Amino acid sequence: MLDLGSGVAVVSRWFRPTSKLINTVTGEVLRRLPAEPPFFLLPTATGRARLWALGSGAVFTLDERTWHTVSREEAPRGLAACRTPQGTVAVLGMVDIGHDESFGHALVRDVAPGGLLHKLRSPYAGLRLALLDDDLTEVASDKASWLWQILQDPDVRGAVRLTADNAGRVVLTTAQGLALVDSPSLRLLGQHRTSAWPVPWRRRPRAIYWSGERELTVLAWA
Amino acid sequence: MTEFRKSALAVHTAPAPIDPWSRLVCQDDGPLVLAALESNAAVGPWVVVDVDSGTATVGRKLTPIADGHLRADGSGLLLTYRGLTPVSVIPKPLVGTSRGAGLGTG
Repeated sequence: MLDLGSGVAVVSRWFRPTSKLINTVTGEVLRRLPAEPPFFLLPTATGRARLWALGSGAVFTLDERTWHTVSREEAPRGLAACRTPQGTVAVLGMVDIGHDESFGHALVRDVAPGGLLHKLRSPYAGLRLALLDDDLTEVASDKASWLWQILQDPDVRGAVRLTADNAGRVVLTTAQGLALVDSPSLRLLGQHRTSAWPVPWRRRPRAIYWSGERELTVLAWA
Repeated sequence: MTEFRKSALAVHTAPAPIDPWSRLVCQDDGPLVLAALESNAAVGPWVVVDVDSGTATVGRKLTPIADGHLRADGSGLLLTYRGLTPVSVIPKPLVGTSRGAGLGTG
């Protein structure tokens, strides 16, 4: 789900080629959009919404009055994106869902040092971290093989989320924990494993996760 | 390297435990966290936790949350198993009518 503002949200499910634009007040489906999630809103002129469908690899420019498509352009495919002062940081590339990774292999991937990791075949080998400008041109990119170690199941898309903490860091969360990335250099600053999917605050250096039936844990960093 | 600091928060959720399948939702720039309590994907209780003070307020009639956004003013929009659900958590937790495509209805 992505809240587009002015009472409209785009709602979608993984692997569905069509998403819906919904009036959040009445529940009315305004239109169907031939686009796969996740979605990310790019800056544009007023009266327009520029929606990057990372699953389809396309950017849709929509008229905010009628919600009709003004244009559709090709764009990179990916799993997640967020806005930072330096530009958009995204996890680009696709997960190879046809690659059936054995439990043993996943275990080796989990503990392997960086040098060995590059020799392993992985469903996540095609992923990279990238810094993009407003035209979605790559300014910098990093293979980020450490990312493989905090991904669990290639069938679970939406497996990565990105948020900016407003202090020059990008917070990358998966079902296995949290990683902090320096947003201009894309360098890994720190990693923390959690028992459940952590949820970061927008614009704050802290996150929370479910740590027990009646217990939450707040994770802060500096 | 970045330093991490962990602090556990016991939440007094009288009606039920926190649903592990439900995503937590954090308030923009605020201390509040919203969690659905166990209800077997049916409508059930939920809780708003103030992580600064540790106080918890229980609300009624919400299904587990897949995604959501809680604004700084305490109003929010959640994607639940029953549809898009507006909520407000200030001054007390209230759930609006669920509409549109939820996770359960496609």
